Amino acid sequence: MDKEYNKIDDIFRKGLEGAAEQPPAGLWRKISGRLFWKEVIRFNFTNLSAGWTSMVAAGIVAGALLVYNLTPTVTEKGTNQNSTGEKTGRPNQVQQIEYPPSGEKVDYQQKAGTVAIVENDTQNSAKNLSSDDHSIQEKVPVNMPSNPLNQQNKSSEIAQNHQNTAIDATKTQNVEQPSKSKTGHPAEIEQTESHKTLAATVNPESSVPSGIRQQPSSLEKSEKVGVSPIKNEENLTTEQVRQQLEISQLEKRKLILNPGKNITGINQYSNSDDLLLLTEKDLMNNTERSLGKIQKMHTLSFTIGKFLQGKYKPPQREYEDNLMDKYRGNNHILSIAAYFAPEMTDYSRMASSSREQNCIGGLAMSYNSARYLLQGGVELSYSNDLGDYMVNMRTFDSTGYYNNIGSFTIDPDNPDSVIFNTNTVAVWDSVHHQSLEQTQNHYTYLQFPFMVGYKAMESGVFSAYIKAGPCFSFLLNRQEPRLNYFNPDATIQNIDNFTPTRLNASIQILVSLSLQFQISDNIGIMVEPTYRYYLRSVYDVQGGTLKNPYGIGVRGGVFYNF
Amino acid sequence: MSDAEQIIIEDCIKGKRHAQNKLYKKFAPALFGLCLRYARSREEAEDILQEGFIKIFSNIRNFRGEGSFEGWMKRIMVNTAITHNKQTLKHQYHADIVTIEESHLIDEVEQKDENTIKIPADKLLEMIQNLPEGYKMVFNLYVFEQYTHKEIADIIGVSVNTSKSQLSKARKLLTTRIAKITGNQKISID
Repeated sequence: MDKEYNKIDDIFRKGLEGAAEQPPAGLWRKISGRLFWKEVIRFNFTNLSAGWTSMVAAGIVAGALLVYNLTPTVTEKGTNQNSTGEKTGRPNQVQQIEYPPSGEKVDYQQKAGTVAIVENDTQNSAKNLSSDDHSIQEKVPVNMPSNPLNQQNKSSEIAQNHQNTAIDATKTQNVEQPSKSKTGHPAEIEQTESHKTLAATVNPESSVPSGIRQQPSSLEKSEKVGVSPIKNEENLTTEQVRQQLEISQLEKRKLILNPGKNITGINQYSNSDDLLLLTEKDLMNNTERSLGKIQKMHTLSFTIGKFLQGKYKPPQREYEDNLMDKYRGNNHILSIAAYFAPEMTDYSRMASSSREQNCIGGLAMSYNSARYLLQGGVELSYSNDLGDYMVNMRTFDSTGYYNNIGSFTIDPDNPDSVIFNTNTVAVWDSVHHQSLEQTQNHYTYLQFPFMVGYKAMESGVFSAYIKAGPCFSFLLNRQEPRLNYFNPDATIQNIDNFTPTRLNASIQILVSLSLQFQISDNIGIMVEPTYRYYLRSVYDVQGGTLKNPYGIGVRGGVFYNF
Repeated sequence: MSDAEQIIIEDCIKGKRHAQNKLYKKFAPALFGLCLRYARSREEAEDILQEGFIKIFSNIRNFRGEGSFEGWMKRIMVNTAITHNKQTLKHQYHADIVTIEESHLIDEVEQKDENTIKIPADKLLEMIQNLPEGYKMVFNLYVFEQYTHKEIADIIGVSVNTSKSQLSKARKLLTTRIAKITGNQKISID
């Protein structure tokens, strides 16, 4: 046993030499997960490969195009309105129709494809009309400034009949087209093109009973394209008329896709105020133009195809006047924004300099007045920085060699000489070394940015602000781990800490370009490249100066307009 | 270093996860065996191994190719174990040498013949794991990593004499434990 006692080291060394044991199965997953987060925390834009950068850029562009194309336009909204026309300012709403007093000649004007009736005395007109059962056909100017369908409307026809509140296609079939009304009403009939009447809407609220009479030549065509024939029921209510004229959105789509198919009714141009007649050709042309355009516009492949061909043009959007006011920033708007901003900050320390990543998350309140903006907010910033340590150590290095005489013999051939047997021996000595080692420090700041902005550009739902202002930072927490240096080949003498102390507060100047995209009336997204310049160093440097840090970053976030 | 190993290292430097996984699979068993010697339990050894591999992958670009890659990894793992030990030292329960329970060690020893006893490796490992922390650290560094007392003193922050003293005590304690198992018989370590 005494022998083993002396060899206790060998017992364990040999017993455990090459001892290996399989680690638990889930350990690699933990290591992999920690590596991933370490990479995320240590993420650096400069480490990004060109391939990844271009892929991310392409993804952002594609996403922006997708969002832009899928955003419903006001044009589309207008075509989706219901027949009651409750929404104000809709594009297909007739703004004003006045009837001329009895005996007065209808004064119509045709302006760029729009027609307007001007009649000063509705009651008289109704009276006159009621005195005569005959239908009066007039060239009816209809003013529809915001309706794209009307822009192509080359002719329209309105027949007024105080006895019938419904469209009577059957009746109109039997009516001869007079060049002048039988009552001698000065209404005139004028038709620039032989378009056929397709649809009609009535004004249920009007005190003047209205009806529509079509030209005989238009009847057949109108029935072909599916105008629902309305029976000549004198007591038919306007609501019933409206129901008969209604057409579902699906049917309109079908009409676009299959122009030859019949539609059962139309509510697209019906509203509670006005009576309109549109020709089939007008409807087809304009509906295709408006809805078809939207449909094309909403196809991403179409957009990308055009873009690749170099023929892509952003869709021209139309806005209602009341909405334009909001987009133009003419209203005073209070908004709140939440954002996240990765930043790269360039630090200069005494021993080294580095570019480190900061992560900032914040909330900001903005007050928009006309083209100007005032913004204040609160941010939490998580900053990375390096700690510098100088390690003084000695390593046992080879400094030379000498020939060591191991033995000697007398030369048997020459007894007067001696033969030395030598071997080379290296001379080792401790050599002083210095090594700059770095640690990863983390700092958390509470920041208060205040900015003034100017709306430099606005185009539709896009707007761009130039903003600038001070930002006050207060250090909340610092994590500065000590250097844990290990070198088995060296004897460490001392480790000097060259990391300068961070100040508890700092002031920066922020300059940014805020690009905002309004998704809806209230909600939008923003991308904001930011430049941050520190007015003084973040380090407490005694007896020396350091270059002021600066950072660049991109804020990305959402905002909400109250 | 083989070409395959060199390729794996280069891919690890690039941060390729599959290469890191290959490296882990290749060296994890040996390094886990090393960690077990420095830890008090398997769970602690897992923590050390996990921490050590994170350091290896984070600093693999600093490996200059001079010497054995496995040796480099072992040094990092040992360093990690020492750091881990220092960090958790204040939370540890320090058992007095006299009161260390040793009865559980005297079992499952295989008697080869009348005068020779084979002690399984897991029993040897258990003996080391149950050493007081200071003894264990010095014994491991001296016996397995073959550091000098001067180096050990620098690494763990004690004097050379303390290192020598702790090694001596560790040996004595282990000898006592082995003697309890084997009596006066010879020990087979194969």
